[in-house]
Amino acid sequence: MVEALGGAFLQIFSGASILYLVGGVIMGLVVGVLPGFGGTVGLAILLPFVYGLDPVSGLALMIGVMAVICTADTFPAVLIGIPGSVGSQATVLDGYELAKQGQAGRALAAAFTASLFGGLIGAVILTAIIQIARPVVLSFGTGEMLMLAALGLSMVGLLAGRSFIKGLIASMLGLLLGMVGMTPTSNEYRMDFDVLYLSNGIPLMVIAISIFAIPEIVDLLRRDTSVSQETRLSGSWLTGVKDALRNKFLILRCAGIGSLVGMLPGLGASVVDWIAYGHAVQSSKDKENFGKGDIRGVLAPESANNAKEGGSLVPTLIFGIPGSGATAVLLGGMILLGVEPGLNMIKYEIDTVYVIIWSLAIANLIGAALCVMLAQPISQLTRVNVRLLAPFLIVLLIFATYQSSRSWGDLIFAMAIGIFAIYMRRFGYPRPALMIGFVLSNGVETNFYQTSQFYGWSVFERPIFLILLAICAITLFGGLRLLKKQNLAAQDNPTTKANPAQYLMALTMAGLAIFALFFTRDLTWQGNIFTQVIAIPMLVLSMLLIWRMSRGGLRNPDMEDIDLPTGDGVSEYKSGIWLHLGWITGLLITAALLGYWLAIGVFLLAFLALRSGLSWTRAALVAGGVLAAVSLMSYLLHLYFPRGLIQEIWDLPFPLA
Amino acid sequence: MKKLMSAAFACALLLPTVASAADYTDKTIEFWVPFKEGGGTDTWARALQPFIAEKLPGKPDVIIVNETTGGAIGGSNEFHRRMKPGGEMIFGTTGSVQFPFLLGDKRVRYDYADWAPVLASPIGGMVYLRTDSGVKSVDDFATLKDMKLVFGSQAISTLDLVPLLAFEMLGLDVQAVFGMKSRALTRQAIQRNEVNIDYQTTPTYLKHVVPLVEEGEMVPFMSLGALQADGSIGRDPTFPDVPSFPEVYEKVHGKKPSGPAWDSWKAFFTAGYGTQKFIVLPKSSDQDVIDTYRAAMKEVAEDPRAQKILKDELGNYEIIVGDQVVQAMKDATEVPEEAQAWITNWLKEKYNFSN
Repeated sequence: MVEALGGAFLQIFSGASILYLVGGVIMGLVVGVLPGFGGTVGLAILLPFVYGLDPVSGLALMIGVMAVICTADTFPAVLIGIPGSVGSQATVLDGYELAKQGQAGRALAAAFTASLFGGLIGAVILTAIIQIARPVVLSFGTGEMLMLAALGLSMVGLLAGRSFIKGLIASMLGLLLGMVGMTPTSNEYRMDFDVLYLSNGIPLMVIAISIFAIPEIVDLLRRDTSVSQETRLSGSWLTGVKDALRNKFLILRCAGIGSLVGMLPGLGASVVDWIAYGHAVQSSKDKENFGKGDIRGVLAPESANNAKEGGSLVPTLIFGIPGSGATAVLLGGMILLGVEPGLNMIKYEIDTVYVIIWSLAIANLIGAALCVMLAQPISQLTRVNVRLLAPFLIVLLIFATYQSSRSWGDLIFAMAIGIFAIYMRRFGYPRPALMIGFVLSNGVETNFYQTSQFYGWSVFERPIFLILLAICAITLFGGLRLLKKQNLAAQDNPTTKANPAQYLMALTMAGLAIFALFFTRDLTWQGNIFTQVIAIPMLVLSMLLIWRMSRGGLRNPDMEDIDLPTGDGVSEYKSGIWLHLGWITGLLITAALLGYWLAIGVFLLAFLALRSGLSWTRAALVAGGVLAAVSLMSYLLHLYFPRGLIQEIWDLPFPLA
Repeated sequence: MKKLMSAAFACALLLPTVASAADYTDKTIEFWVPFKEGGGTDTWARALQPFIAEKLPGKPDVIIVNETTGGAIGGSNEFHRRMKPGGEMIFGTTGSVQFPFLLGDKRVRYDYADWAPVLASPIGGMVYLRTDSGVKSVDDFATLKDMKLVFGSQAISTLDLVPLLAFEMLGLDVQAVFGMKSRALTRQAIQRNEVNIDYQTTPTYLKHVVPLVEEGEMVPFMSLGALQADGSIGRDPTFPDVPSFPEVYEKVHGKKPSGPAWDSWKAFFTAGYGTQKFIVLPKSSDQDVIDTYRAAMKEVAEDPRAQKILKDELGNYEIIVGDQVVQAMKDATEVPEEAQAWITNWLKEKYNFSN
């Protein structure tokens, strides 16, 4: 084995392969930084170039791209609160808070260091177990997958914020949103309202981007400051690296979690960061700072999501099962190179496997080094006033959302969910809880149904199932205890009085539950049982919430309203919500008429001149420059932009079309 | 042989004059695929992409457009709505575009009658069992018939319909468990003994199940079959030693399959496997555009490098090009009326599925 490892190492460093690896890393960084552009797209762009390369170079190129995307997508997550891809949803929670406190450089450097170690540990684990992993992977059946999904759901208690009841309601709303589309059990369409877009379910990235990013951008605009609320940036990249080293055991454990969850196809990519985050909260003694800028909340998901890449190669290489979207394209690329993953490859071509593992490790090193170097300068962005930054963020946000399924549905639903999320944020309904519910909805329903079909009660004879069940119980219990503590700590909160909007929000939640029950009533029992199991308790809880609010009282944790003035009686907000939503909606309407490319020109010009206070000439120069840059990018990468009415009527030349 | 050579030579001499009918110098061809990057059809299109670019007159750029507005159906609707004649927009379809069309899904707005096919790629499928089932070959059919079989499926309206209908026609007691995310995961489920009967398309069977067969864990049972030159369905050339479904049917029932169930099976087999993937142009294109494409695709099909990639990816089947491809698409997209009624009823009764 050592000999084969050494041989594979030399193969990468002999000839041009290492150059391809570096090229792949750089391309991966560019693609990873663009939010909404995961590894899938990055690798797909490469496929035509892969054909004809020698296998080592081709693998190095593809692995290079794949390995660093989960590293680079941290930039948007930390700097602007937009998850760059599904792997960095949880990073947003504390990373973005740190950026607000002027510590973006530190958060980024810590994240990259954690990514690096996560990636390396993932590669080591992959090396160690690739030849014996088959029984491990096979011992996780649908029952165990169900328990992993349940474990994810039990994290809700840890992420619930102040009001547990609101946390539950939010996660149930997420579960209901995840039920839109074809039922996994009975071949029926559920809550699709005969809308083609909904029949495939709402894409994950539409929800992830809209519930985090839209409220944050609107919030920034209302405050009229920069992302960093401190005028001076503190905490250098060196602090971040030190943070990572100080928490090395946390990183190690999360890398282990990441590798394991990555090995289990079907659940993997979208929950691993939440499980790691939950683990970090659970295993820490002082939990108060999580969600308010605790560096461990950045380290844990970043370590896990990079280690996951190594883990997801296990099913890919042994079973030919892609563990994520990116590995699906990787499989395609391997066929073009004449490399055939599968049991035979593990047995007879272990060299190739080691080439892949080395590429993964080296790519992680190069990627993390480049990112750490960029962390400090790029974090200066958080000092720019939002009036100058916001128009670009909005343009980017719409582009990123549109990449989900490249349809107008993405934008319309993102806008609607984003507006709803603004009120969730205001009244203390935790958005991460909604996200977890959404991510796990299908996994819970499918695995529950399949477990009942495949195993029945005999699933309780399976040891791993029972162990996971126990961990779920402990997590849930830990979450409840944490809440109790927080409620005690919240004793000195200012008195809050319920206002009509709060009642309206709770009523809306009840209404959504009734809505779901009503529109699934005609399905077969397999099709609507899961909806009922979620929607009925959600209705009951919403009613309970209203009752508790009506009792009012001091220090009621159900009464959160962050729009109310704090201690000194001055609200931090300088303006209302709808003005800013108007700008975003305005851009969408313009894009619906003129197409995205022309619309962003008009939007940037108007926003910069009217809102940011630039002169019309300068605004025009900036808008023109952005348009030119976007055309160039779209020419090189074949990007897809939303089409408008004029594109439907006339046949327009590039870049208008 | 000599005659053939000289004929080929003559063709080669003639070719430039024929092909100059349409020229794509400095043009960009949009090759639309109604799937995201990384799916089977996307990978297939990207594998063909450089060869199409090379063989078309004028060596145009070929780019893949992944149109995914509303999934495979939505993407296909979108191509159908926006397509323009002239050969600068071509479309890659697959079984999961053919099936909703055949099943009369109300979300379908595209119509195969508006498309002219220029290439078709067949694929096959293999049904296999766990060795501990005790079934070694089709001779042990009686054992299999007494067993409680569990089969994992993505959904009834997918390519899984074909093996499920085959099981029904053989009178097997099969419980279909839906909601599997991919065939790759059912392959894992059978290794865990969660399901005990499974099928895989040819390439994945060769890569991932054959090693298990060699280890003695799995045993092949029947192939779905392959389209023969005369239009019938017979033994799959990739699996010369394993009987095909029509053969097993004949052995079990003592007669050749016939009737509306068989007609339905045949239509869906053809649409999902026999000619699974097509490249089509808008039918409103000029005839010389279509001819230019058919000639180019013929060259693609004859290029040994392209052959190797396609065989690795799809199995040992001849790509269908030339005039044959027209009949192939007719077979894959038209179901006799009686068979259509039969399948609609079967899906409703057995799986509560209707469009």
